Amino acid sequence: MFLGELEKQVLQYLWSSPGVDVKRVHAELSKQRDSSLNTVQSALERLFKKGLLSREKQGHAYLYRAEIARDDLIAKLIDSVASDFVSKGENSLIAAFSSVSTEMDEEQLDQLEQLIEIQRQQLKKGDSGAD
Amino acid sequence: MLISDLAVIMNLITIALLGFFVGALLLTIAWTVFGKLIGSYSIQSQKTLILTWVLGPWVLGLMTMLFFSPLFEGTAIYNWVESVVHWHHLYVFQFSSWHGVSVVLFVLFSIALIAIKGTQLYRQGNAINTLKHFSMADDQSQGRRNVQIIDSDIPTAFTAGLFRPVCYVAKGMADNLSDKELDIVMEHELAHARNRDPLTKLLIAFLSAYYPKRLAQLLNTKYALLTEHIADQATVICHSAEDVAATLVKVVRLNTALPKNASNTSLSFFGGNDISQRVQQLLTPTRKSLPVIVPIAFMTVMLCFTIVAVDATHHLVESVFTHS
Repeated sequence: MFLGELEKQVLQYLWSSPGVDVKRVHAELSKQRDSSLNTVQSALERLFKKGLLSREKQGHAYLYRAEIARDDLIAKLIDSVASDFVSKGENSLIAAFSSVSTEMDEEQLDQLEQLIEIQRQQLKKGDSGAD
Repeated sequence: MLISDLAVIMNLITIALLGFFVGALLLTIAWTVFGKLIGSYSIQSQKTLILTWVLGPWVLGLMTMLFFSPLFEGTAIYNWVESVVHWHHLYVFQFSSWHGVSVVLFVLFSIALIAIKGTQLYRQGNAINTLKHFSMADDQSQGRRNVQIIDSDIPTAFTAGLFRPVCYVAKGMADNLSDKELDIVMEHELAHARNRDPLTKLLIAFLSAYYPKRLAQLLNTKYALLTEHIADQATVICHSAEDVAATLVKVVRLNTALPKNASNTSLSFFGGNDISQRVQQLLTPTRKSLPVIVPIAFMTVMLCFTIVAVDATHHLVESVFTHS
């Protein structure tokens, strides 16, 4: 998922103010940056085509609202950071603390925990034996 | 047809390429024989072996080129090599020959590879910038430089960035772990950043892309797992191996507990057994080290085979095809 600077600002604004038209978005964003109405309209159009916005016609204008919640977008972005390099067995260029294996079931995790516990007990015995 | 110094350069590139492909073929065969033995050695030895395999064809190609080049003309070693193998048209090069075609194909493949990896990098950079834009939380990095907290419930932590790697830890991870566990996660990620693992992974992915796809994936997977082992080892300096292993299992549990529709946190790029392997490695580390002489001797034998095979292939092909 690729988002330009203006698209990010538009999305951020629509999360706080849903159901607004292009003029309102333009008026708000012009406080932060110098963009024409057409540029803002194009950004809205791109976001709509990406499925990140929905819109409904009211009179002559469209009213836009974010189709994706902030948390869902963040989840998608985290996924996209990883999955760009993950496809078909390739490795990610990020280094994650743990890889979530869909094949790891509860039983396997329990077995690993048992292994760790056994090791802890053995170390304790070793320590108390040394004392 | 070229008859000049440029022809020598083009012929040397061709020799390097032929050496590269013969080397890749020999190392692919060698992997099927020795590949399974690698896991029994220490992490450092395993890393040396994986690097030997990844860099092998490149080194073999360049060394073969040097042996055939006129750089050492007149020396005893050159005369000896020439009595065994030789390139009979070093000063003549024809672009429409199989040599020209192989150079062009190699260049085109390399350009495509650079374009693909470059696009991936650009997209990843944009995704990280967008992530920062929407989700950077107040600093909870426990005073660590290079650690950024993501304001998200997803229990994840990762390191990204090629030249200035940064560790990202989501609140969903931080909130569900004790201080000690969080410290383990951060130390692990900081080790990745110190080792510049995202950059080395990119280089390994690029250099191994010329191997058969299956072997390339295997080498990348092995290397990625080694970077995890090494980061785990760095964490064990300040924490017990059992605590690190237990944190690892806890984090996997946090991830697997996510509802299905939140599966976009699927950072599952190591395959099914890597968590088990990491826990096993933490609890009972493999310590058998491999003497450096072994990979050196192995590569020397490979080089001899490659040089002879380049000469043989060249003569065989040219007894069937002509250059014109």
